[in-house]
Amino acid sequence: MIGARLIVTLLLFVVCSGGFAQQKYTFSGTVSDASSGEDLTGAILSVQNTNYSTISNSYGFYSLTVPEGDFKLTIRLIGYENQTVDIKLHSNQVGNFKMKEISYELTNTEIRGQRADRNISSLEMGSLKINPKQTENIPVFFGERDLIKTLQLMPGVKQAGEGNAGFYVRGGGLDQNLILLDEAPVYNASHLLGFFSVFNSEAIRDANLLKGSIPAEYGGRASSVLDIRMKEGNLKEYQTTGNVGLISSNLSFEGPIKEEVSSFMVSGRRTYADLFLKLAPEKDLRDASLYFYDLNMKVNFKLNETNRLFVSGYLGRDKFRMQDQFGFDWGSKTATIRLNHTFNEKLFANSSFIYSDYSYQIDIAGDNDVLLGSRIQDINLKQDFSWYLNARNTLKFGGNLIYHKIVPGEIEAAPGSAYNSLAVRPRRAIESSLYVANSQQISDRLQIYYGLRLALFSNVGPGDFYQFDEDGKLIQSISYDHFSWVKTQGGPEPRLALNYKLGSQSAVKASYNRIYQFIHLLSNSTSSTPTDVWLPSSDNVKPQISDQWSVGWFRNSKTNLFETSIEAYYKNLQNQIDYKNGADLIFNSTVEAELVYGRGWAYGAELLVKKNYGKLTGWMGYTWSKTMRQFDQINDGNAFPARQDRRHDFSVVTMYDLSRKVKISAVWVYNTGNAVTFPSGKYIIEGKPVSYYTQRNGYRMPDYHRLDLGLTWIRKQTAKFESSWNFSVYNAYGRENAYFISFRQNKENPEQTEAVQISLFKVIPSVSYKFKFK
Amino acid sequence: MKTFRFISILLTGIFLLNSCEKVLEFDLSESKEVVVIEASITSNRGPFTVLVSKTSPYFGVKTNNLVSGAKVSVRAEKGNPKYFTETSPGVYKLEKTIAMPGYWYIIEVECDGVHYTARSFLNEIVPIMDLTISYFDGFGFFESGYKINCFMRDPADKENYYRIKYYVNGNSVDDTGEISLYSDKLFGGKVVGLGQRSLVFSADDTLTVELQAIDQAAYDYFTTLESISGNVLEQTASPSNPISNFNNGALGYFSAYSFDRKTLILKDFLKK
Repeated sequence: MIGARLIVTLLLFVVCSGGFAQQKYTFSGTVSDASSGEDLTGAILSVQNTNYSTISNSYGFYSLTVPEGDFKLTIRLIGYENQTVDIKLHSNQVGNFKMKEISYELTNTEIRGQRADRNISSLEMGSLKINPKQTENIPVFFGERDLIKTLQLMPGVKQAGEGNAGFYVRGGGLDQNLILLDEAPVYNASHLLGFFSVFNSEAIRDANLLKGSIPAEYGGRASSVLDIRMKEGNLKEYQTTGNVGLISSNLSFEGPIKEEVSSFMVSGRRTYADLFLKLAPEKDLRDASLYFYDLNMKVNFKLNETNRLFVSGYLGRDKFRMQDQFGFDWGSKTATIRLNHTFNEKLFANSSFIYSDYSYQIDIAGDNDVLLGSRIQDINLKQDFSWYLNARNTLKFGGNLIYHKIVPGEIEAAPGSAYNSLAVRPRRAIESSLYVANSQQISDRLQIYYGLRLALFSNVGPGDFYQFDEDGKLIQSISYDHFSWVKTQGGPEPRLALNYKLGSQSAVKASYNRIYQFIHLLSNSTSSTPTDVWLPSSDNVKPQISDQWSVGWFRNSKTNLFETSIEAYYKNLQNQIDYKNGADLIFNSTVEAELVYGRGWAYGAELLVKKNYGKLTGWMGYTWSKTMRQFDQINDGNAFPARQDRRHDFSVVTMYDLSRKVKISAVWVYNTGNAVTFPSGKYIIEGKPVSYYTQRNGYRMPDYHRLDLGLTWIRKQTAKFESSWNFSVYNAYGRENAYFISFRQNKENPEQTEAVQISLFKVIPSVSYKFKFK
Repeated sequence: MKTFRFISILLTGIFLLNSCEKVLEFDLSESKEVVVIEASITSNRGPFTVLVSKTSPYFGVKTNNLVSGAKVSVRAEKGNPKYFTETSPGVYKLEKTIAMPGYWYIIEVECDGVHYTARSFLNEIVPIMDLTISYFDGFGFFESGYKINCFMRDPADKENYYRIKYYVNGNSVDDTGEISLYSDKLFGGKVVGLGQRSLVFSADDTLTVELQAIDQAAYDYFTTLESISGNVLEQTASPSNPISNFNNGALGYFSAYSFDRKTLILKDFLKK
């Protein structure tokens, strides 16, 4: 394989480029939160008056190799007080740092000039980091804080629909986002038909969305990576946090198992929308239930100085039941076991075993006694190494092996049922990858990242594999046994990035990525629904390939008070999937025959201005973008705008501390309409008007805008107990935004046809109460 | 899948209870006129009717853009063509003819010098075995009322497609836009009761149930028609014209079908 050879060459190149200069030593250790003991990711450690610096990884680990001598080391992280320590480095040393959170008083006094400037010094571009704590005061929807809704307020990220937790990144599809919860892929990240995400903010430590430069350790989805990490649990003291809202409540409990050595975190959430149904006048509504729940758990153990074990899991399900007539439930389960091992001060390793499962099930009673369902399961082994080679090179390499089993549909009919049992053949596949990447400080100003990931996907037996002719007619079906390899696809994925500093306050960056995507979501609705089917690549389905080029200019001004960035991207997508008109996507063994293939491209520019501290904080984002698709069999082969194509997108998020106890916030979003298909004429069939369509997505929805307001009132704040109220108003000025537009007969005058806009949410006030005791 | 659609309407419906509607003014681009043919023949005695029309602007006043002077004929695959006569503008009829099940039929329409043709297979009658009635309490915005279960035995060893039409007091019921279509994919060869999704009936109704055995092309046409004209919540995200079995770009369908009918007076049935 070309890919494998390239990886080896790259590795040799890096190893040989190590320096021969003066004696150097390595300073390594971890960075953690002083009060909870939790690891801190993204802390910048830099040697004063030099260019030596490093960033702590997602386990808090860092390693810095510098010439022998005495120096001052500064550790910086947004939201934490800076620390400067004197180091006398005459041998390899270990240093663990505990960072103190900035208290309210400090936030509002002037302690500028020392803030983190990760924006400028890191190679990252097109990356958005969200810490639930920093955004906890922004207005919420139905009293539920949701980190995906916060991400949707950032440039380059578009909401899938009013109130929806689905999102599009830089022209990619809904299925092109790799959503990881403690490394486990989440296949359906929404509850209640997309109005809420499955991520309970109380259980989340941080989230990082990568939309531009995607490092080689990630792969499998064409457009973005959303890497979410659960809280690890306070290593020092017990803590109970609760949130009581209008439609849901959550409760979290965390603390040490053995102080400073091991800890746990448990968090649960449940909605009680169904309790409102009990008030409904109709008996059937009263007897119905509709709710969802989430449960997050995590434990971690410091086994010894060099080993640390994490076990985490998620369980969430939506349940809908109408008397004993039928039930419908869906949800995900994930489990992750991770072992961090520090071989020495320069080599850090992480081994993970990951399980992920998504399923839905429908049961119908009565004459048609039947059970329907579908499931997707992943078993995933992952090995990553970080090798802090020398002061100029940090090498990362590793591999990943995933076994996918997809059961697209199964029907189990009870004896005597009017239905027949049916099983759509399960699809099995192995997705494997190997990667190596190096970030290298070429000069004081120039830093580059180059990496290669080799991504492969193999369909494996047992099972039947089909061949189709050009019209989608089945030619033959071949049966394969256990452990037989059917077809392997994939290839090398280069990942490149560079950062050129224009001074201490600004930098230009550029990046290029290629990513293969081997499993695809088939859906013919506007947002993700529980019954969407994932389909793996095979003889008949080519992998999607995305290539993205991006450039950006980053500037921090007034000693990092303001962060400004302008980024532009061009993305090319090959082997995009759509389906024929009238395609049957569910319970169809030969669904591959219903698909059509085309290409896509997207480009745009994003502007982000952030104010990081002070009484007033927040950001302003603007995106200009264009997203196109082209399929030979759709729209007469002419290119057409993708559904998520939207020219202008603007958002302002502001948070203001009125006093120590009262914080207010406002969010305003404005965007021009999505592309949509409207009729260009009509005709009569069976006496009723039917719309006549001539072009796909040839029209635009009306402009969308909305203002949300929030107020947080801290009632009590002592060392032992904290409580606060949050009041939010969603869509404060009651704008009737179009959820969809329906073309239909006028009810009074059936001779006339009309376009009717349906709006979903007018003003939605909500209130929630939060408490925390230690 | 009806069940899926039903569930998704139900769930989205709960959120939509709070929604509001507003009529919009829009400029839609005008398209060139396209021929529309609506043709069906049955195994029962005629008359067979074919409607030929053209598309018109969406917000225009004229709803029926009927086309006169077309030449319309139908024949069995190996038979001789029979010609329709135009009884009123755009309406073409063929009287006193019976189509035999088990054959392919071919329709030809010549209009403005363009020749359009389509074929359809006429299936054997599938008899209605029994009709049962149950009361539905309503749910969300699904109305309460009587639901009918139409029992029949699906002929084994082949793929079958059905459509049920309901007539209340002699008038075809279609105001919800629901088209009752069934494929035997999930109940092949079994006795099954076919019902409605959102349609309900009242105790005062005299109801005629017509079980049509249709071919796959008609099933595909009507399912894709329903996906753009039925309940708005069920509509697809990327609407396109229904799959027609006519060539040369004509819209519409040609369906040869057989049917069985049963009539019941709900009041009398409920007394029993």
